[in-house]
Amino acid sequence: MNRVIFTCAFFASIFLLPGCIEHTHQKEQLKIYGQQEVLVKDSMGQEVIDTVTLHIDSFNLINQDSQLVTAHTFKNKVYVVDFFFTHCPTICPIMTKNMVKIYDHFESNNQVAFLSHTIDLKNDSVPQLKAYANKVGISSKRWHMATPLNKEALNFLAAQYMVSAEEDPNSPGGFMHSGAFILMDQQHRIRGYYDGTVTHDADQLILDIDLLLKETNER
Amino acid sequence: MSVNLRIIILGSFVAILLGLLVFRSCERPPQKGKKLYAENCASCHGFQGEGFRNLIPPLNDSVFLQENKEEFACIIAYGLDKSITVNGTTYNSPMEGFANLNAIEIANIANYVYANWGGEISEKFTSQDIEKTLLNCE
Repeated sequence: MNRVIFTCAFFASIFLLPGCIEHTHQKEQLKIYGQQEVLVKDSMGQEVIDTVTLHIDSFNLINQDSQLVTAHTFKNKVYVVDFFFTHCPTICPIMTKNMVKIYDHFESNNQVAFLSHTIDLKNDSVPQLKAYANKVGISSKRWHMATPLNKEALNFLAAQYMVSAEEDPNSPGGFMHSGAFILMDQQHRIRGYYDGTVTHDADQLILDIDLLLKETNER
Repeated sequence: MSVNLRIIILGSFVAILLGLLVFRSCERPPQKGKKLYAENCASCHGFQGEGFRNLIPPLNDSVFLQENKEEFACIIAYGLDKSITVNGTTYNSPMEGFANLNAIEIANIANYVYANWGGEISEKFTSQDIEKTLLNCE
């Protein structure tokens, strides 16, 4: 009887313990998201499988300092993307706080940049974005708080990044959007998704940015 | 071990399990203020109540807490969508209320906040105080 109890307790603790420990982990390589395999015909007319990779490199935004922001702004940089709006009462404050943690960590590194898209085109004018950026104390040199030029552009971007960002009168603040931080590489490919509301994910993102920088600089 | 004893042991084990299942489905027992604060408030307002830059107001300002003792429960329950000034800085980002917290929990959070940062307080909040306040929020 005692042996049965002891064995049960032993196995229970083995299964239960890992769940209690949260830790970041150093990865070997970051996956590339947005790749699809397609059937194409090669030069001989033979059907072969080719890989098509998504590069999000065609966009025009205006940032908090009225500057035009395009993919060129992020040339040779590793950057973190998210979607927010300045009047957001729920997830945005903690997302901003976590993004600042990453921003501060890479303070002296111009190879790391940040892009926050507003999804409230009506209210988040350039002055509004500037006021928000000032409240947080960040500079457009490294962190662009930018607005898409119209709703179609915003929807297209959200679809490319594979996150949700839309008007919803039933949601707090009037918008429903993803709290994801999206890690982008030097070729504008998606390399990771992180939960911007979880500080632990921000810590993992810092490690993954270092990994990407190493990958970029080793080429 | 006799068969009867084994039946009793197994039976009580099953009874305890059933009891736990039933207990969990009852209204959950109230948790202490510190834990509630950590789970609901700290991610934005900070574990030391320090707030975040000029975006999220601090809670560790006894002047603001004293002046807003009546409204405190309303803010937790229903959020805040107006400009406020704390320690000379104006904040105008809105806050969402916590509809899932009951009166006891709000009282526990309020007592935790005021005990740590509220300065001199005469009496603690009770859940009856909170319930009464919540009926009169603007």
